[in-house]
Amino acid sequence: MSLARTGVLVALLLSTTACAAQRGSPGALPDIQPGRRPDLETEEAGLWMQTDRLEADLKTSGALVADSALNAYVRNIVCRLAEAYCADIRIYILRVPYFNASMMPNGVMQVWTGLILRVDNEAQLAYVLGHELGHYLRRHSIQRWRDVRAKSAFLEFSGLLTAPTGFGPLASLGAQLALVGSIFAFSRDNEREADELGFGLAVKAGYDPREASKVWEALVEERDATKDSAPFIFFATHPAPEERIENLKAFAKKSALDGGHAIIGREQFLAQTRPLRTMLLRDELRRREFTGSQVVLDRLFEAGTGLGELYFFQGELYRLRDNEGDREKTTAAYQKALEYGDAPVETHRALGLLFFKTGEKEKARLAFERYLQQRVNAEDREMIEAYLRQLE
Amino acid sequence: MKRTTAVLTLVMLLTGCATPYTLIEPGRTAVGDLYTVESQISWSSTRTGKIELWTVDGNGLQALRFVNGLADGETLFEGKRKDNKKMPTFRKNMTISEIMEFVVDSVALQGLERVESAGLRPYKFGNTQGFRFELSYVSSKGLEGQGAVVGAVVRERLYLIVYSGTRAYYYPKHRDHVERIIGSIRMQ
Repeated sequence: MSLARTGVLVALLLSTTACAAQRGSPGALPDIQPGRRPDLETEEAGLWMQTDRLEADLKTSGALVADSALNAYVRNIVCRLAEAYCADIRIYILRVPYFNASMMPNGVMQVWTGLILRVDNEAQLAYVLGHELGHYLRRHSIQRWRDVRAKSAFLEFSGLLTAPTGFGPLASLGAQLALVGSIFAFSRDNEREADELGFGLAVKAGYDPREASKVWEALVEERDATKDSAPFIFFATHPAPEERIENLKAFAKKSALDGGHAIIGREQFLAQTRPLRTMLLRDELRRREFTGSQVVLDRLFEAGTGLGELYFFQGELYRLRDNEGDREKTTAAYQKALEYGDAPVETHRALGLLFFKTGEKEKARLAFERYLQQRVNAEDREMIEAYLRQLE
Repeated sequence: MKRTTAVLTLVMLLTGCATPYTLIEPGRTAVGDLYTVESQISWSSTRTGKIELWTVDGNGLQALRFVNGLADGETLFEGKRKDNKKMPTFRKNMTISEIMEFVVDSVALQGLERVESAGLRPYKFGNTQGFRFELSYVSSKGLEGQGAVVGAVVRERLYLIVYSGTRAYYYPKHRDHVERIIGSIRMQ
């Protein structure tokens, strides 16, 4: 898409004319206007009310990431993409280790930490957020609501929408939110429209158009490696990723002809997300989806930031997977991690435990002692000292 | 009789109980077949698989779980059938640090958020050398919780006592009773 065309598209998007209703798929509605809430007597108001309830749950959710710098960073990107709607959109970053972002019709945007771990830079994040903004601006949810109701599946839809409030205490937030995501399984036309609109918003904001398709390529790679589409909630509601990649590449080609500001934003992205990466990698491995996690790790290795930490988590993956030959790989990965200055202190403890199990007493003792020397206030000091006594 | 059964079933469904509760009277009680404990107060008890659960105020508020002898290859909780392969698995050759990780990761996969452990240390489990650590977590609804885990591996099987509850009131409410129960473990 050319910048000129993008400009026209964005102008159309932000305009108050009713001609927006003529665009897009059958049943298309005028775009949502900044600051607008639907009239109380409308069906759309009912849909908003339901999502307002979900938002009340989100506000107190234990999965909320409180990091104020990260929240401000994501908000700034959203506001940069859709400035006029900045005040209407509430962002909730949730600690869920799967790739997903979504928007509710009332302006609630959810961003899962699994997405943050899986994008390389600010531009890629912006293209995903732009896509979600596209659904919001075009009011695809209300279209979906009407379509489903027209197909006599209203009760199913309504039940799904209200279901999360009735979940038991052991149901994970991820499962609840996945269910909500499935409600808004938009049509292919909606998806194409959100792609095009989101792309236009991100290009207009100056983001490198070539980054848009890379997000999807990485996801396809992960999906193909795992041969299991179940964890890919984003795919569940976003069909045909291969087609999407081609479309986004075609858009980028057209944009590139016109030149662009080409913001990639790798440094900015790292500055905000790097401090959280240890937590995100720990959450990632808790999924016990080792094939997919290996794809994620490989991409992070390719990007080349924080290699000591990455080799440590590579070792953790091998240790937890525990396939034949993984013990040797674990040792090698931990030892490689220690060649870098940013290896976590826990690498020494991990090596100590490994040697403790294999009966390599002297190596275990050295590793444990290094751990205790470097982590003077280790919260598990008593346990490590007990291991050391057993090694005597 | 049929009517009574129907009413009981309804009550169980309404209260969310899959299995009925029985009363644990104050005094010494056998837990599984490995040991006995002594309680000074009454508890309501129910059992799912290898986990015996005691509570006073309701298991959503505070719970004392006894995990009775997980064998090599077993999981702490039964996941949804499809997800079983993803549940952390107990291995008899685990170090105590790995057992703590196994417990923490298992708990985190049950839908609790920000599950963290601290203070892993050796601890007596009856006359056996065991371990102890503390837990903190937040429920999906944002309620802060606290826990303590005491355990031991006996004859290659994992035994755990996990006490958890809301940080604000229900965990401290019976903490002292639970500490006495843990201190009263007597191997059979």
